[in-house]
Amino acid sequence: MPQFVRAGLRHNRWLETEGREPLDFPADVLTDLRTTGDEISVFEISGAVTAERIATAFAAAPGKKEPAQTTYAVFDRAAVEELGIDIKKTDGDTIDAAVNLLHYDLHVGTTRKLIELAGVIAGSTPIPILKKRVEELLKGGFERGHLDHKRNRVLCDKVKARIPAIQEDHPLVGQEEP
Amino acid sequence: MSPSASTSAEQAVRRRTAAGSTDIGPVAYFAVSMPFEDAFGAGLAQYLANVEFSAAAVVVSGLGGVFHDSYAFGLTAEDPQKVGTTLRGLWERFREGNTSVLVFDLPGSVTARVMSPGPAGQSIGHAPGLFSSTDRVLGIPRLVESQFATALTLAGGEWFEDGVESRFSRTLSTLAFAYGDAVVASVELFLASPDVNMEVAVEAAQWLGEVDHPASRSYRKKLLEKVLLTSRAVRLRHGAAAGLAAMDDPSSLSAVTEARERESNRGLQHFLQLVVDQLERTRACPSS
Repeated sequence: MPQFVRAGLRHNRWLETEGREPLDFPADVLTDLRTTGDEISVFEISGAVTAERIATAFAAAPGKKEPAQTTYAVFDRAAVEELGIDIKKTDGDTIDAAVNLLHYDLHVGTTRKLIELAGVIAGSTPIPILKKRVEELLKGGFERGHLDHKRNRVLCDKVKARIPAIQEDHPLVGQEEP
Repeated sequence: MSPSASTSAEQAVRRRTAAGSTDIGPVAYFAVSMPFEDAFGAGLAQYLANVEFSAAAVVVSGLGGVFHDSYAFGLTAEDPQKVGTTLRGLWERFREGNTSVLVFDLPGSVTARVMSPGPAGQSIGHAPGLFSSTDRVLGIPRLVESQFATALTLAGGEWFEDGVESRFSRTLSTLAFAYGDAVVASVELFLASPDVNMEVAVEAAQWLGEVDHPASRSYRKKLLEKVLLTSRAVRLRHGAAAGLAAMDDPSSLSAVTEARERESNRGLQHFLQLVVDQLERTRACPSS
């Protein structure tokens, strides 16, 4: 069953959704569901790209200079379709080329739909990753070539990733995940 | 006249607040009476030239209600001559009352050797006594509280995101760098307030765990454990747990385990279990 990932959440914002209807969620939840053009960005899990790898790509965004805890949610594509939300395939903009191929925009259109989508995400139970684990994932991602170290050298240096010489000339030659 | 304060690194101060504040660091503190005398500037410049700091910071701070802002500037061993000129410019803005000059090495917390009036005609004197930056007699807490309040106001309009240093966190780090435990004390007061902006409070709690400021580490850890075990706000408890995870100190295991056992929110229970697992791994393999 196809599944989407919404990454870059803040776990604490979702704690008080337990046992509540979406309209009664704390408003700060919507901070994690920022829209542009009434659309929200998600990625689809594939056989080669796990949800954790998608979350790692998000944690390595060029604006991020320090490894930090992160949180992601995994939910069924079918649940989005049931809400009547249009799904558009577009290119992603992370520093992981394989992840970018799995990017979709969900055209939520209205606040009502966005809040319904928040209900789907909350119901999926967002998954936190502690900072220390994120450091390990980032290091591995840079060293395997999943993450383009040239697009975030600061973070690459911060996690002390050792980049094989071949990657300096040919980034993104990433091997499969172990 | 040359300031006579000792700069010996063995001087240390340990003053505790409720959560266990500790300031440690060699610092010189000069009480100065206006009008400003050129001899003071020259003496302070000489003092700075003689100390072993690779980089020093000078904070001019008001005492006794004369003024509440501080004027801080960093110095290196190469430019102590600028001290007199800079101080004179500041002094001319404040024509009466007493003020103070704090000198501390960077990075370090503000722990001050207190100076008192010296012989007649001299602008600098010396008296025994060591104070932490949390001692109100120095005027630092009031100064920090004022700057912290400004930071809080600005933080209300900020958008916080994991992995992106917020302006609020940056400000807190700068204040900690300059004032040590006094900043942590301000955060402690803020987190105990009944009507905090929860986004800002969580950011402050996470900052407590992440800031690279060894002198205040013990105080910050104890404060995070206290917040984790006593706060009524589930999000703030989460922020405290995240801060303790960032510190990665296995000595917090008992507090985090206790918090997990009494936690009723399932999401936070799961998060606390992750923190317990991490701390246990760190305890088993400290270099991991």
